Amino acid sequence: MSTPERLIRLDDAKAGQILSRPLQDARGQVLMAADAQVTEAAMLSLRRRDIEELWIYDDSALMPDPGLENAARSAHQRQRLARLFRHVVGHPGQEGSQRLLSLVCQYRGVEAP
Amino acid sequence: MTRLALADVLPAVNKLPSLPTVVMELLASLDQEDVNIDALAAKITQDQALTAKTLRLANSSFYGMAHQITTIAEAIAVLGFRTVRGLVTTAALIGTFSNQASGRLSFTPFWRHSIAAAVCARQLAVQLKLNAEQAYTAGLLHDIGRLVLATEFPREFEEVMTYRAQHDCTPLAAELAVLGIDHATVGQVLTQHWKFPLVMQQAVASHHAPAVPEGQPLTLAIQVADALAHALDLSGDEDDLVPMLPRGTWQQLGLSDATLMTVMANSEKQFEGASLAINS
Repeated sequence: MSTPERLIRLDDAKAGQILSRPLQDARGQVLMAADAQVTEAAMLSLRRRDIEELWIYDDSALMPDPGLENAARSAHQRQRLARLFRHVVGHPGQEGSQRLLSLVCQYRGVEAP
Repeated sequence: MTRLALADVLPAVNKLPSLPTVVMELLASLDQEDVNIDALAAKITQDQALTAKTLRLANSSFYGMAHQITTIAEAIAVLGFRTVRGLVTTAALIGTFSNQASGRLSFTPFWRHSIAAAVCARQLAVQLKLNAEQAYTAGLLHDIGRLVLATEFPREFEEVMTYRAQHDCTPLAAELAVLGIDHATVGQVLTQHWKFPLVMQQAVASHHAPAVPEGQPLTLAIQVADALAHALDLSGDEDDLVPMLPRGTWQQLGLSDATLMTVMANSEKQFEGASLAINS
């Protein structure tokens, strides 16, 4: 899977961001290579050369989303409980063990597998 | 298939090493109201290996001591007699088997599960108003029969493990199918040999019973603690399997959902410190 990128205005760029594509001037001359890091000095230089936009790696897409992380954790826990209770899940009856599964799901805060 | 009879198991259990005398006394003290703590502390100190292990545990980061604990008396003063007794008995029981080849039984997951069942049993006992330390020890020993089978009958145990892998069944089912005898019965023989209190022998013997008779609350607590420890996934065994609980278990136990949530939360917290004994 390729790393997400986005096009931003130079005015919105921040030092530390990484270019996802080479940056060229109007004549096609490469000013900065892909994967180069944007610095304050580079931004000043780019402004002098009338660069208005640049492609950067989309950090926000790489940051873990807490909601998604929780969802992933819950999915993993449900999967693990299904494995531990594999003689119970999908096997009707076994009242005592079904109740234990329901209690542990409640404790873990996940739906029963 | 290799069948084993009780008559084969008895001599094997009889030749197992005895527990250190001080541990036998500590275990005997579990159901005594009036315990001479100073005398027991002095006896623990006479066993240098046990003292060293206990002090290593007491000084582990889990207990967060501001300064180094250097004597058993100090450990008892700071951590309490019950905690120290738990540390000493756990270290001694694990130590008794640590030098024996256990073949296909993985030592660490086995003791992780045993300690998990022990802390669950202690928490259940608190709620059921039973002797908490006796429950802890019974939980720690509930599967000891598996260790006896693995160390004393390695060839037969190998067959059990192969059967279990092929059929994806519980250890109990595999033992009964291959040997005709199960670890609960073998465990009972060992706890008899070690002269444990009768209620603890019953709990070890019947922790997989299809129904726990009324009037055996410790057995009920151990049966539930065993299942809880598996369900909380504390052993670290990828192929772990929660054993069946008999119908009516929860009514017999009589604890509310909220109380059981507390039992699970406290057990998970205590497990971290208690499991340090495995590699000490």
